Amino acid sequence: MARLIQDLAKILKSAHGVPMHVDVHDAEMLVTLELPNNRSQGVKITLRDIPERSVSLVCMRSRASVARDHRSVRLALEANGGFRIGGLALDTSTVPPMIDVVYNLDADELNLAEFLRVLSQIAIYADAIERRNLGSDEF
Amino acid sequence: MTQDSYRADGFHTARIEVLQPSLSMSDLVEDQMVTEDPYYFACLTNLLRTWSQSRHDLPTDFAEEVDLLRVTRQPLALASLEIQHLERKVSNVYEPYRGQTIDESDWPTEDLFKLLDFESTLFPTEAFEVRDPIPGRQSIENCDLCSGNGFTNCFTCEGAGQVVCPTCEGAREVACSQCSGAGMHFGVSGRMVQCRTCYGRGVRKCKACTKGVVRCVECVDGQIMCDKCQRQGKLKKSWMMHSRIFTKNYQAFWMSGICPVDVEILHADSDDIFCQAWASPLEFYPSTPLPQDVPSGLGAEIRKLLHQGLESGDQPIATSSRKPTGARVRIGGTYVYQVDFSFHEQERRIYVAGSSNRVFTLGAFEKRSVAKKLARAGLRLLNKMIGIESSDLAPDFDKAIRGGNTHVADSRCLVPEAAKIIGMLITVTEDGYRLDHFNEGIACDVTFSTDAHNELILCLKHVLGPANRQRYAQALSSCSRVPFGRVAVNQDKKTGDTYFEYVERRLYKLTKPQHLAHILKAMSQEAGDLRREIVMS
Repeated sequence: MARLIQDLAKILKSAHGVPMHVDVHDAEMLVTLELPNNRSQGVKITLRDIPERSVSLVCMRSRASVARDHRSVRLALEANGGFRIGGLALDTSTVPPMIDVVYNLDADELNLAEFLRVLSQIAIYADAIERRNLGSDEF
Repeated sequence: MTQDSYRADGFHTARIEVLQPSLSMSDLVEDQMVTEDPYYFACLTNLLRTWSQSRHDLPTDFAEEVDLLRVTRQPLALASLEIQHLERKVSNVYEPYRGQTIDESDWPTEDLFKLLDFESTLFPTEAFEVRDPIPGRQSIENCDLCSGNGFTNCFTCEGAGQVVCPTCEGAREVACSQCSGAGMHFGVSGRMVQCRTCYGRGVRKCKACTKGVVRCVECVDGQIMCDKCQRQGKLKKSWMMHSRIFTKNYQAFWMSGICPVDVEILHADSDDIFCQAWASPLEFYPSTPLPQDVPSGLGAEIRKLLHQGLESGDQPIATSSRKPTGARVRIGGTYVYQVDFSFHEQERRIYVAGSSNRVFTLGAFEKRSVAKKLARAGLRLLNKMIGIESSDLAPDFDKAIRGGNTHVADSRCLVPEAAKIIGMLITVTEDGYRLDHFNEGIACDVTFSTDAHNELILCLKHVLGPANRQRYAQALSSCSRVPFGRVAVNQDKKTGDTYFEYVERRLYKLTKPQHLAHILKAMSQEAGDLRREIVMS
């Protein structure tokens, strides 16, 4: 599994025309994409096996906002219905909880073109939410 | 229909809800609408590709080359009027009179249509006739056949009771069977000897009769029973009504502007929006008016039909033996799509209309000789045999569309293929499909849409149940755990109720059947767990 992350990192580092920084740590990597208006957005890529569902996943997650109150959770759930690709998820491991843009790809059916497209879209979605909700560029 | 009308070329499919949804009366007055919705374009392009498989005058690479230029849609209102007619006449019926009661009461009316009731609004597709006895005006008469005697002379013996013997024909003698009437025959010595049976007379007495006559077997003493009065001598006379019921059909249509297609075939290929029957007594107009929202142009057409149907040309509305007893108006409708497309730098136009998406064309597209047609058919067959497909259409897409087994946007038959792999029940719906899981009982709706780049997106949705505000955080948190999709809250526009939904979107062109089957199966299992966690707990 860790090998797949290494291979994906190599591909990302050699990808032309997409300004990004790639940090690899064992079985996960953090890709920081350069976005317009001098902004950047980090996307964490991990691998996950779910034996009971017989799936291996390439999981992408990008911080988008802080779940300050019940309203922000409700809005995230409502937005989930209309997302073209990816969705919002609540990360309760932090205080306060965070709202992330997440998307999983089936590792056994991985298509590189789709992987690159989704990576870039997730970063754009997450950054747009961050800019609208927080106004800052922390993530 | 004018000479320039586009005519149905025989191609049709099963119902495709996205192109031909159920119409209401208010839809019929819509103006012509131009659509640039890429989803409609994708659906109609797939329909055209399917249609091209049925044509021999299009190039083999049509499915790859076709490019939709413009799509406009306009409703076509169709009206049909059925007038039920009743034709009546009376006749006498005679039966032997055996002393039964006679109803001598007079008829209450001479009007044949008031004497007996009838069903005014049957509207049979084929004419039929019924016979009903009319009560009253019964009488007793002497039997005219036997003059009231109950018997008539036997036709065979003319009343004599005996006939000429058929064996001897009245001669009382028959030829001797030993000598065949010669009186002599060859003896054992070989010489002629006198017949000892008839003593040389050649004849013997007829044993079948006495005096050359026999008793007539057809009668008793020259009399036979009268068939008509059954020996009663009297007949009961009563009356029978003969009613013949048949329907005459009249059709009209209305469209704002000139209808470009031959509508005749569409009357039987459109949905009923309104149906009303009016029973006798029927004057020039039904007493119940047409609904207020009938398009005025169509209302005028229907009134014209009623005039035509009830007056029947020069004949009066009702003759003594025939009259209209009921009228039924049906109003239906269908969308007519004008589809402009190009291939090989040629611009062409077809129309698509009717519940079964009939294609209307204006003659052939390319004039080809029989030899070229055969060559093309051979090339298609060869390509199919060696597995060369001309486009991304599934090999059996045309069959699946015609049979209503696949959605028109699903050119690769991706969803039915995936459902087959994991053994799900699949139903084609207006927007896509409904897949039923056996284990959890949560159906999955699969729909199609397009993204900002006009790429087709596959949307999978499980409705988990009513959304509880207390579970919102748990629902959003579960999105980190699920392998595919995410949980969303959606509000029903009609009821205002909110629901938890488990949704996933995938780029159609990158999704393979095996992979989709894998996702559907995982989501099916996950949907059950999610429902237990955030809806039922």
